[in-house]
Amino acid sequence: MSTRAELSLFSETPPAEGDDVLAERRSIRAFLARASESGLFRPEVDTWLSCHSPDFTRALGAAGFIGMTWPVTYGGRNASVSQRLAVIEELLVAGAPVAAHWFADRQIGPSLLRHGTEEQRQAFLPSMARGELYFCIGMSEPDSGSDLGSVRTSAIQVDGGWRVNGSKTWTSHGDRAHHMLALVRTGQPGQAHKEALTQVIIDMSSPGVTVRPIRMLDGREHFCEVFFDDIFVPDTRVLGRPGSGWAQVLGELGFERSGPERFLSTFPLVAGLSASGASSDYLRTNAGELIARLVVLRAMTARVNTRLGDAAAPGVAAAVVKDLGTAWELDSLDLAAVWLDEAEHNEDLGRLYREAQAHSPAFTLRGGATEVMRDIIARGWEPTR
Amino acid sequence: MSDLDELLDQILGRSCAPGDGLDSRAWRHLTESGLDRVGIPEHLGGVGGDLVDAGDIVIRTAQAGLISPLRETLFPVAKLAELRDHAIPEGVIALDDYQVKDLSPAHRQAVRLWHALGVAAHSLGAIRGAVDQATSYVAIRHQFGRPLASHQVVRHQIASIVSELCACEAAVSHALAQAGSSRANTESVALAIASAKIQTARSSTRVARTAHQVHGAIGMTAEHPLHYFTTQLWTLPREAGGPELWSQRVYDLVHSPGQADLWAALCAQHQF
Repeated sequence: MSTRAELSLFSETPPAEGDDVLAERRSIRAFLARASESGLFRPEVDTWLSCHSPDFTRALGAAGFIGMTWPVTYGGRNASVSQRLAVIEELLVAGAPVAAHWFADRQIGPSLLRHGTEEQRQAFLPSMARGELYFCIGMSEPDSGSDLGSVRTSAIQVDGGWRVNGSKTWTSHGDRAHHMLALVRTGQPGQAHKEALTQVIIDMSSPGVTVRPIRMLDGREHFCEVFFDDIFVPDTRVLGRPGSGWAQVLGELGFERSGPERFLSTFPLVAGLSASGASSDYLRTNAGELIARLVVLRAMTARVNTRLGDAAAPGVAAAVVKDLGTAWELDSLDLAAVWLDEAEHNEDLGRLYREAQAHSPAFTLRGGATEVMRDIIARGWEPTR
Repeated sequence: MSDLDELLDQILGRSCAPGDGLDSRAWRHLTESGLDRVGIPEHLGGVGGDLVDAGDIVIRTAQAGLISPLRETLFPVAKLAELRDHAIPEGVIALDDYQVKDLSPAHRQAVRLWHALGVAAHSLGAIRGAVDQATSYVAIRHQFGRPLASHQVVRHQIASIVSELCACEAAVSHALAQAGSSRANTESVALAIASAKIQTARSSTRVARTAHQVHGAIGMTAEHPLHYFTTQLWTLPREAGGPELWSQRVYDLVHSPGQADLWAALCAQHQF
């Protein structure tokens, strides 16, 4: 499909948010209210990457909010993508700690459903949906950041499986994940990445796996380095076909880049400031514009969301959402700084602001740098005449 | 493709050139086909169809570079006709042909909203036109021995206006769907339209600037069609209220006494 044809999805109106979606919102809001009252979490910013809570994730899974679109046989409940979008919006808006299961729910599960064997689906999906099994993503490497096709971690075929050597980095919560879905090189050196890469499921408890957390500028640790020293991955843990990794990863990135976490990372802060009101015209005008942009971003995500199940992943549309969404997140912090001056002295909001600021350089990097998004957008765009 | 899209393809594809006005063949064909009365009920002098159809006509004619008052006829004028239950007279009808002073505040507000929606739709069309011009030009123009489109700094300029365009597409289609929905409440319609007006206003300025930048001086000539889009993009943001005014409106809407908090206000919509 041409880029132009793909991007025309933004001009289409998805079906109205029906009663099933409204019921889903009520239901997750009730769950969040109970979880908050019982002390299971306090609102934070950038929760989907940083806030890892096994207790919260288990409770969420037990309530049926993880893997909700998956078939019942795999622990899901066949919910619609619109119902799921409502739930993840509410989780982000509430500032709930969702990092433990976020990747499993967002992209690993859909990848297993699309490319996995029956045995793989049975082995992972039900425990992921219960919120007991966590996956991390193994894409970036020390020498492969934006240039994902250059990954060097190698997998060599041996009797019954593969020997994997190399390392991954910027692996969020690699120290707490049970498995990694890793992109590795199975082809010959010099072979085009379209045929040379493969996705494998790595058991993080395998002999030869070393995980080292990376201390960030705020003193916290959520990214890790992961080293593979001659680890064994059985054939049954190859996802899809050897050599089809690149195409599969592109599909995965559609899920990774288009969701509301690309513009709601700072929302708990913005909502808190909004509740404190604004007295100056400057603030009211700029806050109004910020909110208008959020209305538009939500409309954009809702439009991409209906296409995530399509055979051809809407990768360019997802890049557009990510570029505009993460710019919103940064702009929201600029305005939050002004807003905090005006707001009554509020220690909680000040803390959220400092947290968000410490995380903010990652907004336009993680999941593909803004520059890469713009290359993706420009590449396929052709004039109509 | 809908019948309306096919008809628009026929009329605009065959006979419309950027800069065509009310003396053009395209305009004659449009009016003969009744497209200047779409979205208006028959008893009010219209030919039927819904708000999304009316939006489509405004967007597509603006994209083709047709200079017309359709953004007024099909939106605030149509709203006025509905509110007063008076049929729209024959001929070319703009908002200036009416007095709105005698309307109740609520009705004046409704006409104002529909005016903003029409301008947002027209702006989207002009943005499409300018983005088309810019992307065509960078593909054919060579500098430093290769097409402009192969220079990364230029590609990123193109990507940024394509993203602006995508945001405007979503903003306007969302606003049209909300405004045409019988289930949407007044506040969510106002929020959707105000957001579309702000988005298209900001994007208009940025797209016009970048489209000119990638064209170099040729884009400033009378001969090149770019100016039929960009000169409109310069003035459209100020039509029916500027983005600052609408931003204050958005702030007030989400902070009205009926709204529990910001998120509740944003979710008070039945349709995305």
